[in-house]
Amino acid sequence: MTDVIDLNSLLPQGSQFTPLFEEDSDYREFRARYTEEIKPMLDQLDEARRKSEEDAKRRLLC
Amino acid sequence: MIINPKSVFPVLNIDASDGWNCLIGLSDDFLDEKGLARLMKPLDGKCLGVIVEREYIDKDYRDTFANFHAKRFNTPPSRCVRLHFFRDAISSESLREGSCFHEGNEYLGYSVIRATRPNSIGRTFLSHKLRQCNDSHLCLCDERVQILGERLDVRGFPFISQDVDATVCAESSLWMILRYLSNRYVHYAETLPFQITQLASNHAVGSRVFPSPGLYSWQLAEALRLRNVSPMVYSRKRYPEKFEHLLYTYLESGFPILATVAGHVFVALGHSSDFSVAPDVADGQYRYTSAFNKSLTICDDNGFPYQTLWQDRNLDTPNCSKYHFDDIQEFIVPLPEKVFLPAEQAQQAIEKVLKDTFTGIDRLSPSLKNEDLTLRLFLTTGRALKAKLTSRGMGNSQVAALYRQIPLPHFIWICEISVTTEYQNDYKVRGEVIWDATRNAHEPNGWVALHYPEILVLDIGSIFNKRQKLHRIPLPNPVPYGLFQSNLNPLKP
Repeated sequence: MTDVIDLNSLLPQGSQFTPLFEEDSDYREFRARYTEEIKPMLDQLDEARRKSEEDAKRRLLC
Repeated sequence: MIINPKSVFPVLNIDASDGWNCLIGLSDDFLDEKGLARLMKPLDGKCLGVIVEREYIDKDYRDTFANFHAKRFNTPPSRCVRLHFFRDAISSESLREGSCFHEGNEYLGYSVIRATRPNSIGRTFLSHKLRQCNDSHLCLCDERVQILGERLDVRGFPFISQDVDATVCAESSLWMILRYLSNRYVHYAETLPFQITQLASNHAVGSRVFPSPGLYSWQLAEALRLRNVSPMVYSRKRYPEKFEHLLYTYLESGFPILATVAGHVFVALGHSSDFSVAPDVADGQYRYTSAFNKSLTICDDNGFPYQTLWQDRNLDTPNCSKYHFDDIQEFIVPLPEKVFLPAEQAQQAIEKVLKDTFTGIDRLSPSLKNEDLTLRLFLTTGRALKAKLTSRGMGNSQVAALYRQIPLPHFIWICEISVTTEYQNDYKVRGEVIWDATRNAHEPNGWVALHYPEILVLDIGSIFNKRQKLHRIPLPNPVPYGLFQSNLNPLKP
């Protein structure tokens, strides 16, 4: 079904979608950089999450 | 003036001869002076007519009564009194004809009064118009109430005080959150107070369940999980720089949160901001709208509905909360099951794209590149976004037309991009990033759309459940457009 969908048909005449990355190597570079750089940030956030849940075991509310 | 004092539905019109104190007698002493003082804080000066509904059977109190109070030697009454509040006085003629409910006398909500001590205030649902801070933006739900056969609607947030025996602040706060969710979303079943107490019983290892000794905050989260919510816990000391920003972001997303201070918990349901001065931000960091936040609106079961909690310790308005932002040690947010991507991870992922050399603002948006920008991060649904496309315009008709057509995830993170002065003056935005909240942040293909004033980038692969395929179209003649408003009551009423 998706093969028959063409979002260009929604655009005004003379306008159409073009690839964001002109070269496939640019796209691969973008993906690799994203994956590499975000990992340490997410690891840090995962650690904060684990420690938050540990803290919650010691906090009595009454 | 008191009308029909010996009937089932006596009326108190607050005037020079009969004041609020008359409610104690009219409620057959169910209401005590302490309870009256709490009710008067949001209502005094805004309510002139009260209908007292005697012999009221309240589902929440009856649940606690049947499971706890009935087991005592000396039991309180099983029935309650319900007080209905109106903006204006009620005449005996309009009461007899029922016209008092339909002729412009605004219904301000109700409060169930239990014969429990020390806290008599039971299930309460007051109109959000009674809030202390008029420019606050709140998570709200609706209730339909029947009085004397007439149906009245009211919008607000549920409130209940602890009865000290079966429920303390932890159970009361859980009840408020769960009742909000069940009022607002059909997905969540209604939860009665003693059910909440029992939710904790599964993990009350070596400890009795009632009279309630209180709960650890992880037990609050677990109780939410058992009611089909996916809770997340944030401790201030683990998120020292972003704690208040994350709290704000979830509120801005329409999720009330459980906020814990030393030994106590309450519900935060809204916030208010001062946009007059843009706070500075460190080099290389973005300013978020959370930086303008000045107060929270809370329901503290030891207080009354819609109290203001200030950030600034020097601010001390009448009846405001004794707590301040930095007293909040932790918060628990009740997320829907399908929100796999939490706020802090969504923010990291979105900022990576905004700063990237291929996809970032510097490369793709000359008009934003040198502007002072403010970002607004929030979670919403694809349906809610689409419902607002026509009214917002999206800065370019092609953007609105494409967003309207494409399949969207149920939950999406949106990061709106604004020129700071335009946001401060008119709440206008210039673009947004839409990120799939059902992805994980490690995936570089979680974004659905990247909209700068000059260009729209769509992932026309992932939206059709295929490989990422990032395509762009130029956008001629872009204009600023209105921010998304759906999660909370509007910024501009």
